[in-house]
Amino acid sequence: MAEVELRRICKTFDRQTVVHEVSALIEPGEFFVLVGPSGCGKSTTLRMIAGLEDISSGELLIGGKQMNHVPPSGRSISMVFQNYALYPHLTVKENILFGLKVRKVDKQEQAKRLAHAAEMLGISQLLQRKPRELSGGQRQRVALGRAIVSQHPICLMDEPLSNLDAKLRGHMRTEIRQLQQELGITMIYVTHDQVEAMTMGDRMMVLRDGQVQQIGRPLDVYNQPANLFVAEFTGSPPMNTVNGTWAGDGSCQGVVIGTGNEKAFLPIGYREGIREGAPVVLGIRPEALQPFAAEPTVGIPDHTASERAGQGKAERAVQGISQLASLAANPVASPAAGSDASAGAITLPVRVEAVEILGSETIVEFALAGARWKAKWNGQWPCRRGEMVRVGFYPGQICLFDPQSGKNLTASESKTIHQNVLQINAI
Amino acid sequence: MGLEHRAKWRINIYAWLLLLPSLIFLVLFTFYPVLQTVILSFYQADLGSPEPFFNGGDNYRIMLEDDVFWKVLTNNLWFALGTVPTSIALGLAMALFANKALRGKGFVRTAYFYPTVVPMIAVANIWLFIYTPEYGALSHVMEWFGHGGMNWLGDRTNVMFAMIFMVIWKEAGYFMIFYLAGLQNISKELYESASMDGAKPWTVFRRVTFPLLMPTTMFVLIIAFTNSFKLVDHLVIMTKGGPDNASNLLLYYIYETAFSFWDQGMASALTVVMVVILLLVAAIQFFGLDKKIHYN
Repeated sequence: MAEVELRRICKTFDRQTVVHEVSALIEPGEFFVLVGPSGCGKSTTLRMIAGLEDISSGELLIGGKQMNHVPPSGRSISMVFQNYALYPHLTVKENILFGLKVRKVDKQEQAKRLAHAAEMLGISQLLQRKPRELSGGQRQRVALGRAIVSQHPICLMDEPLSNLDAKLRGHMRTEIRQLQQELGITMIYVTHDQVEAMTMGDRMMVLRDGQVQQIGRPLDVYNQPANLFVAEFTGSPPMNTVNGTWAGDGSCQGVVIGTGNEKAFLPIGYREGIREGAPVVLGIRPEALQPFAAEPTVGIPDHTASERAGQGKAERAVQGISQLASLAANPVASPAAGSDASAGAITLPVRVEAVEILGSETIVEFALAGARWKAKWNGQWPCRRGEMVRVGFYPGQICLFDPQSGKNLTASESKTIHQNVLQINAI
Repeated sequence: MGLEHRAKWRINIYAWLLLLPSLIFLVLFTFYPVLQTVILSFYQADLGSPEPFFNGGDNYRIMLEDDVFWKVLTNNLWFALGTVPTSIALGLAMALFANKALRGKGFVRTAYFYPTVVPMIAVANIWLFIYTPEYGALSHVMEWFGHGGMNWLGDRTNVMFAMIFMVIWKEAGYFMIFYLAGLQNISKELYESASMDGAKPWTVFRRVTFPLLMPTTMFVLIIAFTNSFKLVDHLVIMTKGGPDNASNLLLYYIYETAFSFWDQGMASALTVVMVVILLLVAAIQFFGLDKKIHYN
């Protein structure tokens, strides 16, 4: 078992820094995911750990030993490449044993390890085939087999699922995770897919433009994003964000969003360290926005007559929806559907702009305070475009970000409430 | 039924009309001459016979008894043995180097490919100067070692080496281009994977690069072998097959027989033999080696 430590690692190509002072301590047996959009430096970081790229500055330690200048084969690391890197002219067996032959491992030992890996991955019947005769998933397994027989304590994976179709990807996610736990190896896994990061990793590191944005357990990253980028990168659909101003004093504090007629005050309550009039970015996860039947604490100050009339219609519509909710496929998972659940919630009437019914969940899109918002509700909600509905959320589910730095201003507070409203389909 | 038949005809006519332009030229300049050559090889058609007449297998019989034919054939085999493996190996080595060279990549590639783009006649004249006794470039160099008086093209033992050397110089760059393309088709990930396993450069070459370049090698092998039988222009300029047929090769001998001795019947018989040899070699290469080759 070996731990991997990155100490302020940098990579510079022709004076352009692509990885900037990345530091992390990856524990033995941990599944560590590097995640970020294309070009964020995650693959480069992985390749530096593998020894396929030189480290421009900083230190790489594996098992406490500095490895900056040790060749890839001396780092006790196996690697699964994005395109699997199977030798097309060799059979599956020869591919799996290539590394062992190079290292002159005893023939009997080779056969033993091959049999073990083949059985583990269910590819025993494919050993005499060439890679071109295999499907994507089978190739993936062969690549995994190569990593298994090497018996290195650390395995690196560079977007290994990106070439597979969606169904197989889901299957392989579970399989890889299971394999890692069975073998007890340290896994460093690169992906641009936040779903993979959330579902597979013990911990994840979010990167952007070569800089670490956040390191933490997937749910912590999801619930307490360190900044606006992480908030918008994780979750599908991403977090709704809208610009606003911090307002109020004493007991009634909150955020004013929108302008003119669309101005709304959301009474969030006291938040430490935010001064009156300060610009903020309000963020809320789509699953935190739930349908409400009751209409207690709406904070829209300037109603016009027509808006009031619209609101009346909205209530009827919301009542209709709450009735429908009980008929929906999975109404239990809709925590705020009842009026009891709405205590302390902020609710708003909104006009539906678009609806996507996905079967197990419904994504409802609406415009509010000059921004498009998305809400994710469990079950099948047959609302239509143009319909008025009342949506609501709890103040504790709100994240506030600094518009300049993007930093989360509420990181430590919202944890408990988020955990309470955590839904299975949150990601 | 009739309508369907007519529609089919129309499609066929279109196809034939589209093929026609190239077909006319192919028939006129390829198929007809090939057929005519095979027919003529059974005729006596020389300056002594105003009208060619059928003489059975006489041309072939005379050919087999002809010492010059055997000399030329042996020369050609040695020439092929000298040029084919060497130029292929050199082409591969150059491609490996040009593919790796970090600085001056473009310059290295251009320099290696340059001999191929220089016209044949110019190449022949340049090498004629290099090989010239007494004041040629090579003689100057050899003078430093005390062998200045060597006559490269006028000596029966040296002339074949001199020609082989020149052809290798010309061909290797050409083959390098094919290998370079082949190398660039091999995924970088394979090398990275091999380096993760700790494979040494020679192992990587032997077990990864070379097997994956086999399709290129196969192609280059056939081209190189055909080229070794095709050499004429250099011989016309530099040696005219001499001295004493020491540098005479099959195609040049055919050329001489047809257009210097005007024995077209014999020239046709020689041509048939050459084509058969080339076909045989290509077939052996193709059907023998092909099974061991991995094609993507």
